[in-house]
Amino acid sequence: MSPRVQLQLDRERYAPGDTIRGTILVLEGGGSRSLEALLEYNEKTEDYSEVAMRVTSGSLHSGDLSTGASFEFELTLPQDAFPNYKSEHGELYWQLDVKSEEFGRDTHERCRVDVEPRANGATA
Amino acid sequence: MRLTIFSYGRRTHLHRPLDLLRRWRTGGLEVDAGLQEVRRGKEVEALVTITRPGELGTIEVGLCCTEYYDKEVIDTDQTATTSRETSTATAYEAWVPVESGAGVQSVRLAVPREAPFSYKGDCLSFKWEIVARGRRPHRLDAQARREISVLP
Repeated sequence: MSPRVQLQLDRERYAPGDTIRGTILVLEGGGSRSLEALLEYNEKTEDYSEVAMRVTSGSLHSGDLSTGASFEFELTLPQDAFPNYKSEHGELYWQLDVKSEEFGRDTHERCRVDVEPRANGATA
Repeated sequence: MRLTIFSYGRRTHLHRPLDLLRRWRTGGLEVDAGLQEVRRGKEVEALVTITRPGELGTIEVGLCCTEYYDKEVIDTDQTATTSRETSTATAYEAWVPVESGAGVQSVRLAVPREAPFSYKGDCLSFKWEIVARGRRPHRLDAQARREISVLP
């Protein structure tokens, strides 16, 4: 059985250079080979999508996931990270993807991360 | 017939095919930027140089952002195969009239805070340019362009 996880972040909004701290809660345990958190900058049009940049936590856990377990992680946005932007024909956005690598189809829990530029373009 | 260029994105069809011809035919009109980088919410200085004032018609300078986005195109003429092409759309443009006398003129153009930022991606890009154009009745407009970088 595939595990079911929930993702919690420490804030609602981030700026370039910020560290995103989060917790992965295992709501229903299941078979897994490894657990990883990925922070990705996505390009999306009506027909296509690409990952332009990816920051990974590395393996947070190896082996099956037990109900009630939790795993903390930290991922840092690049100092020169682009913010989110939605246009008429596409979208640029940051997304956190918690991936449980499994035999068969992997389980993903994804959530968008609101990234806005710092005031006056200042760095962190 | 569709003109194809290779720049932003994949197979890109010219948004305005006559633009290429306009640029070849443009003499006596140049445009430059005071700074090559500007942040959203700030102003950029456009420097318009006119050397043949009588031939350019009504002159304007503008700040333009073009969105390049990939889309799936179905070829209905043959076997309904699909292909990936890059289309373009105007994401932002604002124009200011310029006096048509010879010399260099400075015009300040504002980049809206909510506008796109310069970005070159795999399936979505935004390109900013300062454009000077001379609008001539019954003739192709004269046109000069200078790419700038708009920071978030």
